Amino acid sequence: MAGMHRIAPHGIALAFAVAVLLVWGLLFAVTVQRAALPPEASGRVIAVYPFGWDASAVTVAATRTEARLVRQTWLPNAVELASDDPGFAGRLRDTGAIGVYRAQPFTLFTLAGCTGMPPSLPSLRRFG
Amino acid sequence: MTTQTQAPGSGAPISWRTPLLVILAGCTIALLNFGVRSGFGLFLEPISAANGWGREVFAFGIAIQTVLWGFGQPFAGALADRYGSARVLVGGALFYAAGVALTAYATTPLMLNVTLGMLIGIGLAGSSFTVALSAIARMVPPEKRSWALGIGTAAGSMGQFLMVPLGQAFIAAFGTAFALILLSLFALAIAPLALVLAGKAPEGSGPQQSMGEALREAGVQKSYWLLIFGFFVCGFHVSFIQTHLPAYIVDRGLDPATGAWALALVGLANVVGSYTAGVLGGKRSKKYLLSFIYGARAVVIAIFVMLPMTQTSVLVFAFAMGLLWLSTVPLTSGLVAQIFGPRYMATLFGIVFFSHQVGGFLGVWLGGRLFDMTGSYDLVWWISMGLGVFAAIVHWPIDERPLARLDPARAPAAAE
Repeated sequence: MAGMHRIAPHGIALAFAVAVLLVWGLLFAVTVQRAALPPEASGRVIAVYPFGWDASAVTVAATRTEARLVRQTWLPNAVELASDDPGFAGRLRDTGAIGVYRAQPFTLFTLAGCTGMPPSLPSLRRFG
Repeated sequence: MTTQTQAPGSGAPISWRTPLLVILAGCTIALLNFGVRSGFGLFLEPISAANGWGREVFAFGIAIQTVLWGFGQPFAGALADRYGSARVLVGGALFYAAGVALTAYATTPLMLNVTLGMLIGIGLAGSSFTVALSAIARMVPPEKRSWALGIGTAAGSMGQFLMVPLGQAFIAAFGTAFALILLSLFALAIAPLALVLAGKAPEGSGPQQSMGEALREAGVQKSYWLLIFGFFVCGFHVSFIQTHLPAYIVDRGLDPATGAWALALVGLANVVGSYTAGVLGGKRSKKYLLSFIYGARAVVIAIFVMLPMTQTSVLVFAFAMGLLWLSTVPLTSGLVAQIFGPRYMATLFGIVFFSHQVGGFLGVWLGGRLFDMTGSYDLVWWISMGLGVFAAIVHWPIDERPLARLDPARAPAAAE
């Protein structure tokens, strides 16, 4: 018990949380960097603009590439677009995008669940 | 596998498995176990699309997994109590990792049911935070137990929150199949961590018991049944809200993104709530805290349903429910250890947890069923409120004193 008596319980909890967040942040950063599309890529993509940009500014910037707007995402500074023209990802970066990634389904719905599934599949189907 | 770690205060030699190390290992196991599982929803669309399946195939695999996880929990607990937590955790981790990795190669519904369903279901039960929490509970002194269970639960909640974006990034960077392989490595990491939790529970100072005797003893205790009933309500609330809240919000005219943010906020507040409940459980009566939590859930639900819905009201509701979300876990598991002792805690809490899963099933199913019958979620919200009041009431009369077998001071009175 010596170790536990030396360290305050909340200190242990805080140190654990910080350590986990550091490892997670490192893994996440490396993976996201790896996931970024090369400038010549095209197709359906998610363009991420700097934090602080609102949805309208993002839309204006992104559509300057003459891409088709597929949808807004749950992040105001990210938008899903589509274009088959080569060099699409590079052109999006020229409009201010800090990252361009392959579009894929993502949901925040699983963050709090015990089931590991997007919730209520039948009732949410109507939202696509 | 044996350990030199002895009951606190026994004066026995302390091994390298210090309580601090045990807590950190247990927390990491809970984080990985819960975290990897929370990311499975991300694979629904890519796996279904790659194989030309409807969503039902993947959903059925998850359903098998959930049932096996729930049913397997008491058995995993019994094995942990009999042969030691580490062996069960290692076995569970191997099943879990194999299931996640092989899901990447499932090309038929049967293969998916075996990998995503059976292997992962068995693995989840074996490597679950229930087994890890039980190991933590018996290796830390009673005065630190509630806090330790709180940090263990909070770690699991943190895993749920953090692993989803990471899993998504894995898919984006490496593709679906390799993302599953990477996640399987996280599940496999439970195995070496489990070695820190090696060893069976100390027999304690009272008369020794067999598992059958422990089960019979718990079965005739009113307090044990009240805990089972109460935890059923927790499962009902959590699963109903997680599954149906986004649809309910959209039905009331708000954006689906609000539902997503609400659940994210629940997940974040859950980390704080779980830890706080564990800390408070070490200082205050656990049963009264549980009564408060369930009563507060009923009040929060009532206010949410009766007030006009706005984005703000949804987010306030989500934050409040998040604080009350898995905060029941350290208190309920702590009460099991406090009343019955840590020797057969994994088994006894495993049974209580099974009740949680049954409640969870009913919350999901009844939510959908009553929505289809009545055209709204109103009835289920009122049932949730009633269940909250019911749970607040049933926890009140729980006798949270250790049984006479564990408490020499009570033994003469009990014998009279």
